[in-house]
Amino acid sequence: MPSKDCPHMSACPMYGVIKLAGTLKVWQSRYCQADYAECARYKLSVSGQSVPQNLMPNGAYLKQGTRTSAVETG
Amino acid sequence: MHYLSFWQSGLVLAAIPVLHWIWLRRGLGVSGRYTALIDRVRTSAVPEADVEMSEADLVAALRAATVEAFGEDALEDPVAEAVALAEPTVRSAERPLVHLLFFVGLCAGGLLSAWLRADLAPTLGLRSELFPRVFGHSPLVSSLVLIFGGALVGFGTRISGGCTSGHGLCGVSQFQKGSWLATMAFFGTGVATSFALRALL
Repeated sequence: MPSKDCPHMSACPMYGVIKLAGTLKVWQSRYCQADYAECARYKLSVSGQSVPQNLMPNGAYLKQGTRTSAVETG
Repeated sequence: MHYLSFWQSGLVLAAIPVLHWIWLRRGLGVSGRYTALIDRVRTSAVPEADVEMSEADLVAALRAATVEAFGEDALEDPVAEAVALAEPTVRSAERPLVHLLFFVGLCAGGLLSAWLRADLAPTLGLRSELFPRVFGHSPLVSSLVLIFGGALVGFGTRISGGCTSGHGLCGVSQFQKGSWLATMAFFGTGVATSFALRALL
């Protein structure tokens, strides 16, 4: 059975952060070790473009100064 | 003006966020979409990809993004994490066009409803009993009052982390304490203001 691990995992700076923070493992389990072909970082990387530091696996961009409490319900 | 009965309106209102969730896998919230759209437009001039972040900032932003994509519980709750994993349509960043379509649909729905009732008559004020009695009939004054009211709603929405649809329809149905409090606050204030104005005028 082929590995589900992302081949770019070891070189991905975001994976390094996610791996160290236990509370963020959901990204690792959802993308890095499962559906990595759907990862926006992976897709950009294989297309030969540079991958921004703040690009999330789901295609969103992280913004500086974002706080957990700032998430809006509405 | 003819309105649906309370139970018919309740059923329709309940169906909207449920269908929204079934189709789009995200909670219904007008202000959230508006904020996302404005953010997209505002940051389009400055490429988001240029943002450099320290590791601490990156972790903080990642936590916020995790809550946004998977819910608050996904940060620590293994059950929620399992649910998120089983969910094939995890929420991804939506394109501005999706948000625009939402607003077009919102306006089109209102127009269609008025047109079906043969009640389509654009006005710069509010067609209510009280509004002209309080603010008069001047289109300019009416417009300014409505713009000011809209700004106040926007301000309240930002400081309370959601709007009437986000808190009142989605948050309350998910038993979120903050949403219950917010809904009690804005409906309570609305009812009290209405009674006070009726008593005074």
